[in-house]
Amino acid sequence: MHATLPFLPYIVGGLAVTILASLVTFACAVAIGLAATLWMTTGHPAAGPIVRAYVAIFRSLPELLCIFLVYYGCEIALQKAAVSFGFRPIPISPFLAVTVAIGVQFGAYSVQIFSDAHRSINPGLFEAAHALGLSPRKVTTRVAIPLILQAAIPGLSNLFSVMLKVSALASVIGLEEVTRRAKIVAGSTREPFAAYAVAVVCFLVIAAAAALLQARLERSFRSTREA
Amino acid sequence: MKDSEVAPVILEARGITKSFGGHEALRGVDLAAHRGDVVAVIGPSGSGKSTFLRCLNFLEKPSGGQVILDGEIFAAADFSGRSHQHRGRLIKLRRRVGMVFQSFNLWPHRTALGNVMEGLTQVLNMPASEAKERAQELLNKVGLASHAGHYPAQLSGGQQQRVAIARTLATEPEVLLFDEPTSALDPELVGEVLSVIQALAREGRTMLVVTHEIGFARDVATKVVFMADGAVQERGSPEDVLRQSQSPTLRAFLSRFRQER
Repeated sequence: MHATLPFLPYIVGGLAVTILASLVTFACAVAIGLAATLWMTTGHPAAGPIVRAYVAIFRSLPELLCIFLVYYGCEIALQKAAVSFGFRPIPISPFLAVTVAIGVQFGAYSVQIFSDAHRSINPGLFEAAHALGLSPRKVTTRVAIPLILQAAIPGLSNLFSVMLKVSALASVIGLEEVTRRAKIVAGSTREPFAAYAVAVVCFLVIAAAAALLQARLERSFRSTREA
Repeated sequence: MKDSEVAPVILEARGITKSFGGHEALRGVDLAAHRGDVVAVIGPSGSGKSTFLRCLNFLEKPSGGQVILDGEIFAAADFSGRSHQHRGRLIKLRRRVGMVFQSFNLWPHRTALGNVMEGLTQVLNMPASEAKERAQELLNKVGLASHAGHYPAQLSGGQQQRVAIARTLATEPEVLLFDEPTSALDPELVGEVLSVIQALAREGRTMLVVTHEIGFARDVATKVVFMADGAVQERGSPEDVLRQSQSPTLRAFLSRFRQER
């Protein structure tokens, strides 16, 4: 334990990367999910099949595989491009690779959350907006999006807590988040238990913070729904 | 001669048809509302009266026929398919024809005031401060000035429907469509909504009201239209339709109501 103590700030410092990676990935997944759901509601003939295929594919793949695919795939592609176009190969940032890979993959889950949320909304609320003479774009931004987001909070919170944990997978491609740093410290101090215990505490703390935030959000919306 | 027969026609439906799959819900409905008319549309459930009303602002796209608003023709054929070409015209039609729904359909994420302001700021592009003042006046008009900050879930059904009426009035539509405005209400709340509608009728507004309130049709309407099986069976003054008509379907329909009341 004594050997681990000096590294405490180092491990905990990884939290910044963990949180940042999770937030960026989450934002990416939410944007994809919302956009795909709204596209499907336009009734465009291509929307249904394309979105369904996307969901089916990315829900079936292991997260790790997606990360490898994006990270090494892009690296090789960039190298080939560098050779043929004669520029210096740019290294792929693990952060970027992870946020793209997990963001796109969890976008598939968020499509489901948002389309369920959309289905749960009384269609009369959209009709009322159309009947008033709002343009379709305003019906979307003023009525559909706020109501979908509100209905999606529980599902999204759940998704976020999963994404927090999945972000640890980024350690395999060298992203220095909490897990990766704990592993490095464990290796050098020969105190794996202490190092990983610090990581455990880190994850528990952010999970608790996320749960608190969810409860607050839900409470503030519930007050508009109940007398 | 009544006033309604001299005033110009503001809203006219010509040969409106609507089929859902193989089912023909409307088989060519004609109707003309003169300025200031209060047209009560009555009929058994499934007669197509709500569908007809929803065809008038194209919330339901008619399969055929025309809606003519103040001389401007909106033909069903123009709005078939996913054409964006006529979307702007549709929005204009809807700005001029307001609708009040059976289940109120207030937006739950906005207060009573916010619901009423929406049409002012988003449809009429009124500045927020002015819109707020105007919305407050409208809430006052429906007797809910003190409930401006309440969310729909904090209001009774009757209050919600009155807010919904204020929301519809905000954009100053020339014709008001009411789709069974009291059918979702507890009996003791029906009166407060009907009296708001009655007050609007007295202001000389043109209204089409799909209703099961025969008493309202008798006392407030200038015209009564009886629909059954997707077509107009009887039309005329309340007296003609509700008292003098010899139509067996209409007599059977009315007698059912007398038993209930």
